[in-house]
Amino acid sequence: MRDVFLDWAATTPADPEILQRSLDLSLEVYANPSSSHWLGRQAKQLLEESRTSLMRALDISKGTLVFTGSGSEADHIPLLALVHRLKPVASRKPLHVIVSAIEHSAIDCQIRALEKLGVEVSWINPDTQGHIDPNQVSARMRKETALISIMGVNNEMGAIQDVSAIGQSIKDAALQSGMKKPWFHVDAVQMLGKLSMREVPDYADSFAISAHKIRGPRGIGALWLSRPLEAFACGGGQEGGIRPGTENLFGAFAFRFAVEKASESLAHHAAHAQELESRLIEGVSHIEGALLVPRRAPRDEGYVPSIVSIAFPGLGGETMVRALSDRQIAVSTGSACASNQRRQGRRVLKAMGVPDDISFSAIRLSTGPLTTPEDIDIFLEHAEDLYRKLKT
Amino acid sequence: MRTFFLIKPGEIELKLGNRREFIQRLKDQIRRRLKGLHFELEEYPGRFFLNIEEKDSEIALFVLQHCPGINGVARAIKTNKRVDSIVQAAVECAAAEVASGSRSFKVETRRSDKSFPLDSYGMSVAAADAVLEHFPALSVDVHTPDFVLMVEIRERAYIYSSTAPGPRGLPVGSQGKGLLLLSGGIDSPVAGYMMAKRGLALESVYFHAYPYTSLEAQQKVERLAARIAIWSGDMSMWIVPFTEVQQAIARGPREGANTLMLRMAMMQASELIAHRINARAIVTGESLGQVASQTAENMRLSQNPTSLPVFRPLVGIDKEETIALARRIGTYDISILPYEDCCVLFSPKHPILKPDFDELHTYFESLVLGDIIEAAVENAEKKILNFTDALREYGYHIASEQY
Repeated sequence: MRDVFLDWAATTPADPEILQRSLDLSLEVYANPSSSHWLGRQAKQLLEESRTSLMRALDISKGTLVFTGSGSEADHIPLLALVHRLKPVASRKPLHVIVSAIEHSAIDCQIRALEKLGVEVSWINPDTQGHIDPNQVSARMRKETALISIMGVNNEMGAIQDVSAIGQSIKDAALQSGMKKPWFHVDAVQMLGKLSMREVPDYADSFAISAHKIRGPRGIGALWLSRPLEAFACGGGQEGGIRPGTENLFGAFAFRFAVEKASESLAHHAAHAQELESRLIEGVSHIEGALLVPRRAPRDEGYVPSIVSIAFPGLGGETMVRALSDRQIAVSTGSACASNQRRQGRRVLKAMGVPDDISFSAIRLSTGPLTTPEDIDIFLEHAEDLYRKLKT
Repeated sequence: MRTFFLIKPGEIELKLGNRREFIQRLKDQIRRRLKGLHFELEEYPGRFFLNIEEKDSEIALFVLQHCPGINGVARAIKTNKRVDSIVQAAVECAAAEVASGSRSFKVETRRSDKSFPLDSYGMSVAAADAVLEHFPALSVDVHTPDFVLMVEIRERAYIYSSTAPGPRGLPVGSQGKGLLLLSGGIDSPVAGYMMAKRGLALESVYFHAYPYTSLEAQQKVERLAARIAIWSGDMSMWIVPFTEVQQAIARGPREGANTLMLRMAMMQASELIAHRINARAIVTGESLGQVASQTAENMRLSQNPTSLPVFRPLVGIDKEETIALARRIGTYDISILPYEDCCVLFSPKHPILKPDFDELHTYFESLVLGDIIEAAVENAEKKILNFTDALREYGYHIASEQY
């Protein structure tokens, strides 16, 4: 039996061609880009070329791109920059941030950490379809609002947030009330390779991306910034002082190649993902009892076609994941279903108002360019069989 | 360099009838637990002396402090029986106490060698004089001293002060063997510790319901078993594949009785294992009223499938006390790891709180689980967690070449 990998939102199989090319280049250009000798200058030049090319491949011409160690780290930088503003002035009202209740834990957990330091947080729940209403975001804005963070594409159920409309409503609200516009950060990790990033800089102040979600290596992410910010972590001044640490040349090269390749095939990949999505949704409709969370039709523009959440009521999502795994089919629950985090365990689906017995029985399927229609069929066949056998 | 530990046995002193056997068991336990290290263990009335290499003294102290049947352990200085040597050792001992902030002391001497030139009082005075001369800031306080300097004169002289507490209780094995029902929770490891301290050797049973429960959950329970083994010496774990039994129960018509039926099935399986390993009792972490299935009536039902006594050392202890104990014995941080099965689907939405014994007993019989429970026990996997696994859990590694 062959492996069926339907967990592309977790990570993707690296592209050997991208890795090899980057490895060759980094073996050749090995010096520290901060060194002032000719080897260092050569490395620096290639690093900057990678940066420029990566931005060009994203079709972005303004702002700067900072290489980081991961998508999570890229998310942390604008959040942790707030720490500088937590001055203990008694008269001052606490800082305020607005964040969706369905963010990836990289944002969610870090925001909770800031909350402990005295930052006030407004959590925005999505509607039952998983979408954030732009007006709800701007309605929570106040003078002390320093940051707003909304993800581009949800990693558990694929909902696309209208970040452009959210950005616009933030701008409008700031203009109308004369407030300073808060920093608007977009976690775009699940957006990269699935949707165009071209317009994001028109309304966001920063966004985070990661190479391993588009067949690049792990250990390299990037943060796009409209303007410099005062980073919390400091050190050797690399990456404009935003992300200290000796630069990961191999990673930067590979990220560039991965983005270039993904951008070229964006439309093609999207069409492929839609085909798979239709097959999957059609197939699930024939499994008695199974349902999509949230309910959605194929080619719904509110979701990326490559991420689908399916519930099998009466069977725990974790159990289904293990049982499928024993049949060499890799899927995930979308988040750890842990007993001491039960309250938190399914916070994304919970925030959408999905009842517990449905959310606990949900699994996430995510496809990629290498996924075949047969993969979907194999999944459907085994899921149906296991559901019948294991349902309680 | 060698280190000497004076080991004070506990309750076995009281049990005159079985004294010899208990002493032997404690000695065996100490030897087994220190296996792989080079040491000598000598026995005197009411005392053991352990002679071990200095580099192994930290691990030895750790082992002794977790060995049921030991009341206390003291690092001692061993000298010849010349008065000046003893006095010098007393000063050395006092120096360590002064360094850790003690300000008053007294000296007590025990003399089993009656040919020793000074009597007990004379020896105490000589040692105290020397200590006072070296540390003028110290004073003698015979009622509430900061430390007691002990001088024991036997075939050699032993001088010691601070006694680290041991777990007390009875040597493991002196009360036979019990089978511990081990889950991944907080309670059952504490129950295991408490019974090990009462002298019960332990094996444990874990009911694995893959794929409803995860392999991570099983590994967590293995780690818990290893942590209990630091008290119980070693601890085998029976992993019983219980998926089919659970499914058969879930297929039954009375959803509200699922938890009770599962507990009865587990007890029946435990009984089978207990007989196989010659265990005289079953141990659970139940506490009265803690959850719906732990009422007196429910306990009566769940223990019905076994004729063995069911020991529930936590029955009268509340959750806070159990958590405090779990922290103290080192199982809490593993118990709260998030791998408990998230399969809430088996737990009934409305569990039965006031069961009718006869009716539910009949219901259990009607499920006819006997064969699949037997099959599950037949297919159980036995994992042996020995004392070195336990030590590794606590960050102590006995180099393998010593085996």
